Amino acid sequence: MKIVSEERRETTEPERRAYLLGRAEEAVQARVEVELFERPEVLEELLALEQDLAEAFVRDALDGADRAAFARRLATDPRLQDTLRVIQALDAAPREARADAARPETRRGWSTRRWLWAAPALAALALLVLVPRDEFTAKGAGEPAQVELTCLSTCEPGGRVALRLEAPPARPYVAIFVAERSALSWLTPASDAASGRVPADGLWPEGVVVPASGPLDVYVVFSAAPLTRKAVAAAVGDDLSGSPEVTLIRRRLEPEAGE
Amino acid sequence: MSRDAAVSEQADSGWQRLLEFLGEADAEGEVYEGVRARLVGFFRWRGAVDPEGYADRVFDRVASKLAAGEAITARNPAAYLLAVARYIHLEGKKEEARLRVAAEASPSAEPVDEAPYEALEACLAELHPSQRALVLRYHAGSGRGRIDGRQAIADELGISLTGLRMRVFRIRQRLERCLRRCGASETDPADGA
Repeated sequence: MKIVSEERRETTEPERRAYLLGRAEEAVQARVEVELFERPEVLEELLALEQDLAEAFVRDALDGADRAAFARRLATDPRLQDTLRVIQALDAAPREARADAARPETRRGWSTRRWLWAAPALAALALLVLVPRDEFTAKGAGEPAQVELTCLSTCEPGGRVALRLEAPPARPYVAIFVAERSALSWLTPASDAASGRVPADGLWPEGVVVPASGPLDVYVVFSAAPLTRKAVAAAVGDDLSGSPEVTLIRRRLEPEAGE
Repeated sequence: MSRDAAVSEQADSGWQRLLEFLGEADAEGEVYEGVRARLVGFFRWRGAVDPEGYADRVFDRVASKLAAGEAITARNPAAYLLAVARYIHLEGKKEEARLRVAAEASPSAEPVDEAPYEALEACLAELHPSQRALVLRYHAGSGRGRIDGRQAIADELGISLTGLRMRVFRIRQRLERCLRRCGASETDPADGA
């Protein structure tokens, strides 16, 4: 007869809820805590579940015993009070605030801008507008990451587009390459090196050169450890679709028939 | 070497050995911070009144052992720290019970903000616009409408509801940290408040 240790069974969501509410049996409490220390990702899972409980508390969706247990925890846990404040505030957001936030043109800080450039072959016919498209394609598990592009001095072919990067905390190393038509060219890492950390100010010093004609895809790959070009290519895949091991973001610059 | 200098040197040695024990050698604080966050969570969920203080006590206890030349043979450093954390929690249980009773005796536990959204506005403004839009949309509606709305967001983003939930969780965590920072600066004695 095979004896399966009770200690090894992964805890369920109801068990974790009970743990967070301080209502779990000792054996369940022990299992949750072992998981918490053996698997780092469990901390985020528990904190996310705690936020769900706070939301249910605000909406009066917890049953009597759970509600009372949550209230007891709230009385002595300043962090939980902060969680509740955020949930209450977000629920109380006025309709106008939601509408403002949803508008796609709303930008702060490093905003992407429209610029005009005349392709040599079409200069006499029309102005082409090179528009950075907000195709935020983030692949891979992990926290949100940000990549923004903005023109430095000139947005004409040969000019430079700067990159502003915000890496997920758990994936601070960055590799950047550009795909133009079917050709790839690397910004970083160098051929004999591995990827480095995102600069403290988030600004990539080199930038990307505006092409003579679009589109141009800028791929930014965030990883937990330094990667060589070969390792980045393996992680991203031949189809440039990414994998759970990295956070992959694509930004596209493409010409658009304009005024 | 003076006695103070000797004590200080031993403490530094203990911390250095603790970082090595955690496998921190090249990780620039990431392993240490990750373990500390789990310890804080452990003590919070055990109802400790000062989770951060207790977490630091765990590190101090282990660092002292290492500095004194004791060998730790546990294969998994994090599991060893859990064992020490449980021990420290037991040691402080009486004190915790006394402080918990005092807290429960105070009136209403629910934090009440007269203008909850306004308090968060500055923090929301710090978010990337897409994050701000996402988290506000996530909280829109009520009942069935809210559930359907969230499924619609997940479908638009091409992710599962679980993936959406984790994304929103991280944004809300950022807002919490911002609120704490704002709260700390408002009570800064240097401001004369």
